[in-house]
Amino acid sequence: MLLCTFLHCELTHPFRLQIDHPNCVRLYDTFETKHKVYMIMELMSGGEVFNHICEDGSFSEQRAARIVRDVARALQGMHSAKVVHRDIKVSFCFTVLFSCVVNTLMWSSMLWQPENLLYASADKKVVKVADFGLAKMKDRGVILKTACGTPDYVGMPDLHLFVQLLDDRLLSCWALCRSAPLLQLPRSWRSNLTTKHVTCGAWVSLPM
Amino acid sequence: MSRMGPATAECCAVHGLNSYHLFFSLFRGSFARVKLAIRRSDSHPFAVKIIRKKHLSQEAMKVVYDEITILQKVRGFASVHVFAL
Repeated sequence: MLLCTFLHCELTHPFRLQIDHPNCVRLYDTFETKHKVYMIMELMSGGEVFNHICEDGSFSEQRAARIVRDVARALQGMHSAKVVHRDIKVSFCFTVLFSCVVNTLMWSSMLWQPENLLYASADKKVVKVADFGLAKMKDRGVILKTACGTPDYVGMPDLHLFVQLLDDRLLSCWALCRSAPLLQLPRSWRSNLTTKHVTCGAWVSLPM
Repeated sequence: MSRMGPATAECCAVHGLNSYHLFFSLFRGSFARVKLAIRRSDSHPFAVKIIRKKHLSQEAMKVVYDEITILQKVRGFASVHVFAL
């Protein structure tokens, strides 16, 4: 019934600048019906990185370094294709609605947030970046001003604004620096960390 | 085979969506849910993100289309099929 009136069209433009990066989740197929949009994507059978941090307590330096390397590679690939992810993070967390939010609509859809870094397979060797819901294509000279991201992982309020105005690509790197110490923190420390600690910059001074 | 046009295209497209077996939810969000899907031809597992358009505004739909465009840009081409718009 739904598929009776059928219209087929190509939304893609075949000559767009694009890359094939192994550390980004792959989209295979897209279907759109009257009520739903289906996106057929690569299955990340290894699960979320944060779950593994919880299970193992903390990662060894080597293991943490490998994850950061993979994410950095993905970021490099995205940035070379002029895409900014804007939501790199490792944990599953609630987002608090702030009164100063510019785009309320976007934020309200982010109340319950999934993890964005996933293991590609059960052997936990490759980390891939998923969820490009907040990503933007960035052209030279265009400044992205929308406030976005997860509070714990965006920079200190003033610095955040400053960095974002400079270049959103810097912001992604900032979020990566934020995520990196979490991989190595002992469990007792992690539970004591609050958004307040994070926003006042306490994480930056922690030994990596 | 002489009859080409919408009917033929419809068959192909229906086949496209039907070539995946949908299973249980892996993750459920406010608008989208992610389900496990298995391709019928070679039983290769995939993850399917299903977004309900019912509660989405025009702007939110634009975000969805942007995500698709960006995913295509970052990781190869993906075919896009649109049914019953």
